Amino acid sequence: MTVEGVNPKAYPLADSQLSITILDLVQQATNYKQLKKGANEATKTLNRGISEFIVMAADTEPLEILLHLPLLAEDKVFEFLLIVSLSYESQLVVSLALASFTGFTWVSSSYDKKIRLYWLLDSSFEIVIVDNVPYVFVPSKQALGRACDVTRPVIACSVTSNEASQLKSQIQHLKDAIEKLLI
Amino acid sequence: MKIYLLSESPSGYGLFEGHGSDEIGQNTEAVRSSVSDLSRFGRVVQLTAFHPFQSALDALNQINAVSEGYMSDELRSFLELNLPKVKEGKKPKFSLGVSEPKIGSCIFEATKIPCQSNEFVHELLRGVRQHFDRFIKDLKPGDLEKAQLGLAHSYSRAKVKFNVNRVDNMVIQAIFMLDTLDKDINSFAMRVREWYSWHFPELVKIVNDNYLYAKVSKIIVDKSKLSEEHIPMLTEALGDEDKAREVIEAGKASMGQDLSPVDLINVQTFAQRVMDLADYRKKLYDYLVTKMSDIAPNLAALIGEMVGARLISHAGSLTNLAKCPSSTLQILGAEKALFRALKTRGNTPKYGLIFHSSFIGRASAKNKGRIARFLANKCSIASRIDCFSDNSTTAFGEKLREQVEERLDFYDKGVAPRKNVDVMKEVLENLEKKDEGEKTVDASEKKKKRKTEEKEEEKEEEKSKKKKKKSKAVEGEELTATDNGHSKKKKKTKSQDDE
Repeated sequence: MTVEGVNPKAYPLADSQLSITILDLVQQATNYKQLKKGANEATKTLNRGISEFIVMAADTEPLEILLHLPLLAEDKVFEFLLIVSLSYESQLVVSLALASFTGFTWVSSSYDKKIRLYWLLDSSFEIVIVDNVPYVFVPSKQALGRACDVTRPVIACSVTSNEASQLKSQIQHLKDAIEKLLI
Repeated sequence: MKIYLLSESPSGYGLFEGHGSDEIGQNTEAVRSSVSDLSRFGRVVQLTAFHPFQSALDALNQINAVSEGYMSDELRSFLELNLPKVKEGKKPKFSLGVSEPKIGSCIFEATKIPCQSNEFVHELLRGVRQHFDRFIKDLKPGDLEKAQLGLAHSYSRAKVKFNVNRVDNMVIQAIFMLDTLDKDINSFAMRVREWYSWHFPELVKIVNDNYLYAKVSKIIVDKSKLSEEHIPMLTEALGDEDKAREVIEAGKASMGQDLSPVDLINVQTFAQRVMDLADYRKKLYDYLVTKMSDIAPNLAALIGEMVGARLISHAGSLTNLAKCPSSTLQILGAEKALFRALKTRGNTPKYGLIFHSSFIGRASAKNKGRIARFLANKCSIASRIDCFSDNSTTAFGEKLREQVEERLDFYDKGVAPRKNVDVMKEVLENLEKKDEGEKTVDASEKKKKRKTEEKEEEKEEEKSKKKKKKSKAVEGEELTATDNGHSKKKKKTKSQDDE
């Protein structure tokens, strides 16, 4: 009804143009069976690591019933490597070790992700590469429910991964657009 | 286009100017190779300004602001002093490279300095960190390592101190202590009865309550000295004068053996300790109720303090409980049965710790599973509100409790329940009205609500005790029913899918 102030915790919030794009992609994901509707099912996709991105409704009352999803979306472990290092002096050793382990082209892409080092006792260290699942808020839960082909409002949904899907490129573009909201 | 680099070190802020970026371009590999050589890197990047931190506390405040994505006043004045001025309307001819995108956007909002945080900038900043001690001439050898170590300690300690999970640990320890104390008190009380029965075996039949038995044995001490003078004390302890007279009559005709004074003293001391333990258990229970109403008021209002505390302790913390989907919350505490069912492809459990809620006890046999699923869903909502909400209130918990009551009525009588959206709107409207009203009125209303809640809880506990006995018999019937056939389950699952 009346346009109320949006909860400041709903961040990042998509503008009207991006919202239309997101809801359109959500609808297509519904048709391709690549969508999980509801906060509980979205939680499960994050735990299983099959989520591409999370869409949440900013006008949820109360909004706190959604705020565990950003916590889960960040810090999903993506890759795990164990490398023995003979030197602690320079992070360049880490880069060279990564390069020798995986090849240069992959090292280049790995810098887009967070790299965490866990020093072990026997002068070796673990490398845990952590990638965020992007998440975004859209203004209306009614619109999100319509995009999911559900008569009820939907407060959260998750687009799942499928390597053979025709939506792959659209999902990638949208993930980039969502991550630009954070800058 | 010129590029500047902002570097945050434990000693202070550093501003560097990048040269020769046109030659290198945006080639990351070339930058990476030049970073390792100081002579080459020195030509690419030069120090423009350095602002040392005044003290360790100042360093901690600055780094906290950077990690949270804020720009402190000190950083702002440092940047405005050393960077070329940005005139309004004109496009700036330089950009500032930062390692943290959030602080970059904050800097841009406040000062209109354009910031970037990309792969190229990260490589240059990595080189700056590697050769930092050689850029700053005033730094003595070892100063940077000491500053790093001190700041790391302070930063980590500050993080740990403000960890919200720390508060959950109190509830987890309290519920563990409460369960252990229940077992210990029961064992000790049985020991007191057995020990004193050598002296006065008839007392066991007259006084059934463990606590009262310890109290009465402490009053009597030696049965041979029992007389009419003990009736007032026994009446006060037992609450019944007829029972008091019965005790005295039994004492006269008791067939127990006489104990020596030393033995009696030991029995008395042990009985006193059992009574003290029972009193402490009551205090611990009150502490747990108070703590739960502070940490998780909605969850406590919905399912009770004891079951809520067990859920939190089983999940590990309130944050972990909030992160669980409701299907996981439903079977917390029944992992053994779940894995057995998954291994043998049998029936998975309907409930775990939430079985002890009064709602499960009141539901009929065929509706227990549905009520368990509904209740787990409401518990998930309540725990998430408790975990992430800034204001502490029990309004949501009470409304969620009403929803579960309506669901029970719906299954019994067919009354249509309300929807989630309507209930939440009602709660928020009530909260807004309360904020407008006077604070004194709110305080008096809260007191009344707590009293009514306590009474309701007592009644429900009595009801649940009675229904648990019935539910055990019903469970026996359930086992036979499940053995009959799988077709019934298929029909049920279909009907559930339709719902």
